[in-house]
Amino acid sequence: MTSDKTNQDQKVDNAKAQMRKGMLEYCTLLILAKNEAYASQIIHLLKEAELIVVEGTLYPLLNRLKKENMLQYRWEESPQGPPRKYYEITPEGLKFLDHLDISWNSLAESIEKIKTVNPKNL
Amino acid sequence: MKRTTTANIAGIVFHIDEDAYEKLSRYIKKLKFSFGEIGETDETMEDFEARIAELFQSKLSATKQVITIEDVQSVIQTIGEPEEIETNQTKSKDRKKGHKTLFRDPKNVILGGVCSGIANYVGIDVWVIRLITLTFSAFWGFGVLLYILLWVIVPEAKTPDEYSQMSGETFDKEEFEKNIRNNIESVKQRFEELAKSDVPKQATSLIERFFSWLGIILTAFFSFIGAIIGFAFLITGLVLLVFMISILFFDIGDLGILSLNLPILDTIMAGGTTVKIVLIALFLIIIIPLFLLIAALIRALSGKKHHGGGFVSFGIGVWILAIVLFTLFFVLKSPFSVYEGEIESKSIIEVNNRDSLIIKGLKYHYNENYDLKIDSKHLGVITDDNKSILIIKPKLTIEKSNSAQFELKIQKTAQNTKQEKADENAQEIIYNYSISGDTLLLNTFFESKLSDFWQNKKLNLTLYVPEGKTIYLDHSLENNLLNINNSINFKNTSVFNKYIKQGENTIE
Repeated sequence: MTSDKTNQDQKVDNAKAQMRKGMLEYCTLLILAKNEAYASQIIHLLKEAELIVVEGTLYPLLNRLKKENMLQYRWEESPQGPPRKYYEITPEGLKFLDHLDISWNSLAESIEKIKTVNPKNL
Repeated sequence: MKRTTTANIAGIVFHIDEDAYEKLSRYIKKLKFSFGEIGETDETMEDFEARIAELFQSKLSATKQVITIEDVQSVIQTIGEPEEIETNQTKSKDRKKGHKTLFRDPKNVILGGVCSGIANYVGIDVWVIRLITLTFSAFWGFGVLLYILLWVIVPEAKTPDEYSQMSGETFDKEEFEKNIRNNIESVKQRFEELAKSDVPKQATSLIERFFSWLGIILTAFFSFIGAIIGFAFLITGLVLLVFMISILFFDIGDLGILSLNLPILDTIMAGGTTVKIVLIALFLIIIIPLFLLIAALIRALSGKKHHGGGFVSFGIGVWILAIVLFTLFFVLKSPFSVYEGEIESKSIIEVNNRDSLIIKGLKYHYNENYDLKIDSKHLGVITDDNKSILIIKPKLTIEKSNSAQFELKIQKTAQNTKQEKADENAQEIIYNYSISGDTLLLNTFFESKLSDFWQNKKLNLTLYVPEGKTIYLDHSLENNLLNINNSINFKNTSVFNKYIKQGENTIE
């Protein structure tokens, strides 16, 4: 039997996982909009921001974005290990990112609104 | 000392311990199942491999030149098991919320978490389920088999998503396949662990062989490597299904080895309650998996992913019920005793013309408002708007008489759970016949309440014909079951509307 506490943890984990899923695409595009990067660099940044738990999450995402023409990449030899893929955002990706920015802002606003709502006005 | 092997990962050669290699190749296979793409160049997998190579390289130095199992472990931890990798691809969207899925619960495990998974699914305490499983195992060893089967088929809950769902079903072939592979792997591992502790070596390899064999078969089966194989299965299945259904209703006749002369439905109707239940159960036991298999094949071949969850569970439910009934009534020889009540009377038939007897059947006088629902050689059911009547047809047997007179024996039988009641029920049968001149007019039916069908009332008429005398069977008896003893085979020629004579031993 699971105790209430672990149940609670599970729920939080679950909610967090759901939120991250939605955010990850946006954040990856944000990073790449600033500068081109190879997978490990993106992973490093995302890990620091606590947006991913395991590295594996990123690879399917990058590939999907590439297929949707949001990203493109070029190969570069690495001083150690296999050659690296440097990803950069495409014009299409930038346009998409603009939309995401707008959505994010309105979303953040909505949440702020709800958080600060005066209970008497309900 | 350890044996090492070499692996080419993203174009770089690594020396790797054999156990580490095994683990890594399993991991890569799992990733492939989850994220691999079929057909085109698989970029995602290339990326994964490139990253694995990069991580491996960082672990090697001048003094450490071989990748060990710990290195593989740490790489898997960094990149993550497929279940931990969060994607927002279609898979998770497909799952409807609140729709339960059966998962094994890895947090509450004795062997494989099957029982706890079922407990979560149906909302009963685990121990109840465990007790039921144990009981099943104790009696027929059936529980053990079912357990292993479920262990292989049912996926383990790993992600928070799956936990919340533990208690929606999406039939996703790839996922199903993936799960089965993963599960076989874990069953294998578990057995390996168990084997290492105690079990003699030979058994281990046997178990291992069994599971790898099972794995091969399941994989081959579910991946439908040949759609042709699937198609062949489908055709065979359909033919079998049609065959099964047709022996229900029709006389198949001689089919070489399978000379099935009895339509099963008639046998069912004619048999006692127990026989009926056993036969119907047996039929369901055979036909339901066949049907589900065909449905699954059609689904897989058509490539559609819609799910017939309700239908499948219903089928499985009925199937299990059929097995339980079959076991109760056939294997355990019926827990409810059935008594047979019987009443017999014999009377001499006076015939004016002393040498022959004409036998006619008096048909049930169907009212125009009645609707004949069922009509077989054993019984019929007629209904009008407010009631149903069971019309039971007597069976007529012709036998040689020991005396010089025509005799008619009437035997009424009925079944019930108590002897007195069975006798009573047999007595309730009202049957009429009349003799006028040289004609014996037999009712071709007697009535019973439809709700009393389980009493299995039956009427056997035996007509004793003296040697040298002839009988004429009118075609009005054609719809009744006729049994002529000591006869030349009448199967191929009709006996109706003909004078037949009782000889010394045979009737002709």
